[in-house]
This record gives sequence, C-alpha cells and structure tokens, in this order.
Amino acid sequence: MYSKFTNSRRVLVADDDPVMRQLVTRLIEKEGYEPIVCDDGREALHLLKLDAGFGGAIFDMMMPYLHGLELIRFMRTERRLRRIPAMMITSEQDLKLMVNSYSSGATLFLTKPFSPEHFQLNLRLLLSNETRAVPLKAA
Amino acid sequence: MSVISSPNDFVQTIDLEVLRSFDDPDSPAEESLMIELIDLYLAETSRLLQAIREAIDESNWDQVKLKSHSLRGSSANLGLNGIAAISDLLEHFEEGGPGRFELMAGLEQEFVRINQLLTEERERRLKCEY
Repeated sequence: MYSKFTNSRRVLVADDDPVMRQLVTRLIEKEGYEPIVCDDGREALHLLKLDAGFGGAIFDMMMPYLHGLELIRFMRTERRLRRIPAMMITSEQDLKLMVNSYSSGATLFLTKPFSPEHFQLNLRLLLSNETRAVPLKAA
Repeated sequence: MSVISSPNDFVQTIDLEVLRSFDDPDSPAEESLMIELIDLYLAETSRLLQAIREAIDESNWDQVKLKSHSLRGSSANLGLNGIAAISDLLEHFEEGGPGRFELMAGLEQEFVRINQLLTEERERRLKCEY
C-alpha cells in the first residue's frame, strides 16, 4: 500500500483500550507522523515479524495475550528491530516497573494521566532518539 | 497503597478541563477530538462495566482486575478521577475495605453522573458554546 510517509515517520502503536488508542493515534497524527495501530500485543508482534519500518513504537504496558514489556524484549533480541526506540505507557506509578522497563530496553516510560503537551514532548524525544535505542546484551 | 477509603469520596471528582485540553476549539465540531473521546469513552465504559459486573458474578478475579485496570487508565487520562479511583480499588482489591459489590455499585453510580456531564459537554461543543 502506498504511503506518503517514510519509515522514520511511521509509529507503531499497540493498546487494547479503544479510548487510549484513539487519543494516542490522533496526537501522533497531529505531530505529522503516521500511526500504525494494533489492538493488542499479539497483533503488534505479528506485524513486527513482517515489518521493521518504524521510526518508533508506543506500547501499553498491560494488554491481553502479550504485554508491552514482552514486545520490547522481543524487539531488542531481533537485529532488524533493535534500533527502533520504544515508549512504554502505563497507569502504574511504580518505580520497579520503570526500572524493569528500561532494563528490558524501553527508551521512554510515560505514565497516565498525561496531557497532550506531555505526550507530544515525549513523542519528539522518542523519535529523536532513534539511533540510541540500546539493544540487550546477548546472554 | 490507595489513599481512598470509600467510593463516596469521589462524587465531585470530574475535571472537564482535562478533557477539554485534548480539544482544539478552533477545529470544526465534526473533527473534534474531544467529541470523539467522549463517544468512545461512553461506549467503552458501558461495555467494561458490564464485563466487570459479569466477572464479579462469576468470581473471575483476574478478569475483574484486567477490566478495572483498563477503566482506570482511560478514566484518569480524561480527568474522570472519581471512577478512576473506584476502579483502582477494585483492581487492587484488599479485604477489609469496601466489598466488590459495593465498589461495583459505586462505579455504576459514578458512570450515570459522568454520562450526563459528558453528554452535556458534547452538546456544548457541538453548539460551540465556549
């Protein structure tokens, strides 16, 4: 399918909540990026196995079938996905979870509730960070 | 640990300014993100409440936790703090506080208020009464 967006302007989004999904989608569009939207973690995983053309990824932490953290761990073990920066969104204000996310390879950690300005700032940070996503070391 | 002791603590905790912050008042009503979010939220919350009620009836606590978590996240992000707080209690349920049926009743009661306020807000946006 033809897209006017280059890969670096495509942003993968996975969230099972339709309200948050729509909110995030519209805020991404407002910034001039193309959201590629999945309804849950499993759908995002299928897509990532076929397509690595994303400038960034935004995942909800808790989703049915596959959590955001598991998606990020998968991305960090795949050579073609390693460099894609990923932001975790969660309603948990939990320091341990934040540390766990970063150690799993998350680039940013955004807690709900967030304002549109807060989201947009984080989106810009995420997408300017493309080359700095840190792959997990091989065991 | 939650600081909330009862669902009744939250009868006035709806902050419409948070919802309005997602809107561009200069955009036409048919493109309004706020209206879109109101419509989605009311439909989704109605569905979630039914799912939570059924899960409580079936003592399916994992499902209660999962659905309450969803409700908490979207509600808090739209400034609907009362229903978010009750969802939080249900998601992280602890013996000794309000019972699950009591919390469910609190959710339903709060949703009636939210439904009315958001519907009024939607009408105001459609008529551009800002």
